[in-house]
Amino acid sequence: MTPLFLIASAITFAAPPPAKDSVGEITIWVGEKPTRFLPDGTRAKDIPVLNTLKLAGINDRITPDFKSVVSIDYSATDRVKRIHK
Amino acid sequence: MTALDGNSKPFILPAYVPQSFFLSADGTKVYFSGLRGEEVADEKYFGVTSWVLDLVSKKVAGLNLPVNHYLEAISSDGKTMISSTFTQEKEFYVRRTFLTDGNAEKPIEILKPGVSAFEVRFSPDGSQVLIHAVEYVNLKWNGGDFSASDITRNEAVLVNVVTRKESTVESLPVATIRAWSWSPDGKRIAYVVHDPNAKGGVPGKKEYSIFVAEPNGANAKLIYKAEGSDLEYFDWR
Repeated sequence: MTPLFLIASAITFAAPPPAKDSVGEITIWVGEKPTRFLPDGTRAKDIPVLNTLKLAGINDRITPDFKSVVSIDYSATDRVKRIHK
Repeated sequence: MTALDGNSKPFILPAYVPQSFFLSADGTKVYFSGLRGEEVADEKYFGVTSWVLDLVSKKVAGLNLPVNHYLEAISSDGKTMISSTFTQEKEFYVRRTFLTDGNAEKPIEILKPGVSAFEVRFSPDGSQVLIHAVEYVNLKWNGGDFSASDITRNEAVLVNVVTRKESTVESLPVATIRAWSWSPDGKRIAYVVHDPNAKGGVPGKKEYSIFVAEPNGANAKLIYKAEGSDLEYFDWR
């Protein structure tokens, strides 16, 4: 006779993982930390980020592997001289 | 391009002044509009050209958009684009919005002249575009920023890419929406609401509420709240 705890383990391990690829995850970056979570608001987790990294704003893009960010350095724009670098 | 953990040297594209850009869905390309050079005089600011940067080879190639067209969005397959132009007509600037697909000889105007398109987002299959449409009155360029005497239209619009039919999404609170994104399957959208006039909360911190709804705004549900300074990024993928 199979012990009940083994049956319970088999059921647990046989359960499919969350369908992340079809459901996806939402990422929001407010202030210093980006956070990812499922579209029902659960399983929130922070993305590790260098604490000195400063983004230019809402138009920045995080790469699909969540390892890099692509941005425009607007700080190089000199409005006073009307020169945009 | 900067590593989020700071463990590698940032890649900086030299000799271009980008003004708008988008990362491809697979993260291998950056589509951008701007100007060549290390600096650009203000009177040439609107004479943009569009390119695509391959992040693997670091090579830049031209994009099939006319000069003076700002890239506003590009479909995930890279074949359909939304662009905008700023043209001076007498003392005011007029903004126009265009759709370019792979078969078009030239961009086709959508919305109507004078309407500015913000937060332009293609659905994952490229069949629809969600746009925050704002119509400004007497739009002026002050050598750094735009100003207008009034706003006569401020709404979310869904545009069918094939028929170019426009549908107003009345149930989305565009006045307080800061960003939105399609779900990976294109069946829902998520959006961030921040009301700058809201009372309460933690001093010095802004509250952002994230909702999920159908693309027409129906069945909106608050799913998450975040607090902090400014909203830097929002996406669903």
